[in-house]
Amino acid sequence: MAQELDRKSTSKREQIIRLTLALIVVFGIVLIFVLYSAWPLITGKEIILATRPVDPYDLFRGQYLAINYEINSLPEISGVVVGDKVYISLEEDDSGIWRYKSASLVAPSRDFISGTVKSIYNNNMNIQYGIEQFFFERGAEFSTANMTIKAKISSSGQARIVELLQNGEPLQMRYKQISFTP
Amino acid sequence: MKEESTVERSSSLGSTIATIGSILIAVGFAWLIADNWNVFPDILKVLILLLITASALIGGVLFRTHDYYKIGSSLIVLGSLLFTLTIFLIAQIYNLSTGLQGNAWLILICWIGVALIAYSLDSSSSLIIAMSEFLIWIMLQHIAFAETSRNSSIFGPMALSYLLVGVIFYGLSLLHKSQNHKFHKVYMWWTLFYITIYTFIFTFLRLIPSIWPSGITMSSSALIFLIVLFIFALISFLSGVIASLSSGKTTIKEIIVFMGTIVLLLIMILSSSIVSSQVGTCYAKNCYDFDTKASCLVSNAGYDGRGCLWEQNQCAEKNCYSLKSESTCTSAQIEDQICKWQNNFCTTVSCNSFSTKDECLLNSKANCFWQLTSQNGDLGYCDQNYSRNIRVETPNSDEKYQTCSKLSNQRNSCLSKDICGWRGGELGYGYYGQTTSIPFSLWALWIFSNIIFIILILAIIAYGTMNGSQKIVNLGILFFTIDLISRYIGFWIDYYRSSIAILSIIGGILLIVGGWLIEKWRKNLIEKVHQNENR
Repeated sequence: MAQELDRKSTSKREQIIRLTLALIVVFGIVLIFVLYSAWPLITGKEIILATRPVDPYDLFRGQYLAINYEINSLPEISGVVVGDKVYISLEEDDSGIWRYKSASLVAPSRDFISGTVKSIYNNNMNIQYGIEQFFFERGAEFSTANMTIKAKISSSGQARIVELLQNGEPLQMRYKQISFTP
Repeated sequence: MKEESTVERSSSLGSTIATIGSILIAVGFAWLIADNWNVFPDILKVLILLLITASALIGGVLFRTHDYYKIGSSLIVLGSLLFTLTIFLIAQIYNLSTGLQGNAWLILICWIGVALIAYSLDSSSSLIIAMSEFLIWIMLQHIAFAETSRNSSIFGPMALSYLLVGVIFYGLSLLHKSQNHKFHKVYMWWTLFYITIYTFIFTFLRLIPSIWPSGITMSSSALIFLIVLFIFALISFLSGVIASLSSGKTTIKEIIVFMGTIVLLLIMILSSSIVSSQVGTCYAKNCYDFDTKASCLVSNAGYDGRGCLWEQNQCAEKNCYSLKSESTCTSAQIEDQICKWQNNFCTTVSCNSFSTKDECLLNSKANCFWQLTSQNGDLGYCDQNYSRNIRVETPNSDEKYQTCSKLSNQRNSCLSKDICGWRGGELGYGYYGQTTSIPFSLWALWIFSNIIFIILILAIIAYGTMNGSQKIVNLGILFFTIDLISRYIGFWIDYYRSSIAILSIIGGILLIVGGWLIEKWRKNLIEKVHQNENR
């Protein structure tokens, strides 16, 4: 009887140790992933980019706005191939929007965003920066006219969206009330 | 005693009511959270997701320690799935890339997390989720590689990767068996299931040419990925073999049979490149198939024989819609069409839109003519003379389609014709979809893959019988039945034009007799399994 009790308490202790380990794994991975995702937002420099948006749907993650930036299609630079990482120098214009200045295969000293070349066609390269989508909850209503994007760029050129702007002001989203009755 | 029972019943009723109360509170909170999800700060959203995942895992372990093993295991599976969802929701919260490579990274993170949960909490079901996520990751990663190097094969490297995954699974199964770990059965069953389904996919004639559509080629990223996977497979296999042989948990015979199967499958995948140069669709070229200005302008490939034009470094159909600038649009001389620049777009104008005789006759090049409606005067309307339409004066595009489609599955003959283009990686079809001559090499490869599949099924059944595993025997029988049915459907698709009645009757008899024989065979095998167990 005592042996049985001992075995049970050892087994319980083992289960608790295993559970603690599993929770450390879950919290650890999520924490690292959140830090990676939020790093440009915490440390980055704020810029505003001009857009041309469209509106698709992601099977895994739901409704999102696919954003096409002015800097998505740029003149081809020499020696670039599809899949290359490119660095785009940006400069602020009089209206506060950051626009294309130059592109290169090596990182410039300041004010740049990094992206990957997805295709090259007609001496133009299509570049993706990882900020081509903005997710929103189902039932959101907003206009996409005169839209610009406030983003933050880390020192390595990695960008994250901060918010959508309309006529320079934060975009107001209205949410439809979800109801289970007709 | 009676009193005790009444007390027990009332306490059980009380706990049921309390449980319903707890569920109601939980539903209330969930409703509140869902309703206000958009107003929560990002970090609070992450914390809520983590809290729910952790609750499922803690609940699972608590139930398991209190002898509710099945409920506990289900909650741990729920925790693993919620972890996967948490990763995708974090990606959504921070607007991370929706591209294939972005999703491949997310699945990789999910796989690592779920595999670690499965091992720390000893959860076989979570291990199955982790294995599935690993397989999805391999697929997504290869599609992402193909996105950046469009001319490389995608299915060939993917097939090789999945073969290496089979070796990894087998190595892990041996390793766990040598340690008496409970996961060894999961790995063993899934290795067999995986290898069988893998071989089964290659028994389809139409899939074989798509493995290496342009010979054995792959992008450098796919090659590096394969090398890394090969190293992992080698480590897993060697460590599994050494550990299981030294602990006496497996036999050399079993390892040799597995190795033999892998070598046969490897031969099958690599030899499918032989047919890649012969099998494909021969089609009538269209304007977009010409990549130089000279070949574009002399070609007669355009739809309805108008020809092609060179616009913005690209060969396009000769019509108004292909013209991208106002100057080329307004000065265009395209037979049968009148181009007009409107709203930054080049469009066509029909003869009917001209209301005066002068306007109409100005566009006589587009075959506009003034149709009189009265004997006297100029009263009438502007119409187009279809009798001079270019469609009847140029070679019919349907004829070109017929000429080229006859040369499907004959690459060299197809490419010797200027009007025909070649698309490899698929079984080519003739005019109106009938199959043209299929090369002997493809038939030989198809027969080879089917023989490997039958040998594999027999080996699985023998293995299951020897090891006393009813599950493994059933797996072999299941795939044997699936093979019979799919081959029968294949014959239907290929020969249904011959005689539906004969095919139905023969098929029906075969399925009834076959079904009876298979069931009898299965029962005998299960009996043998039980006899082996009792011994």
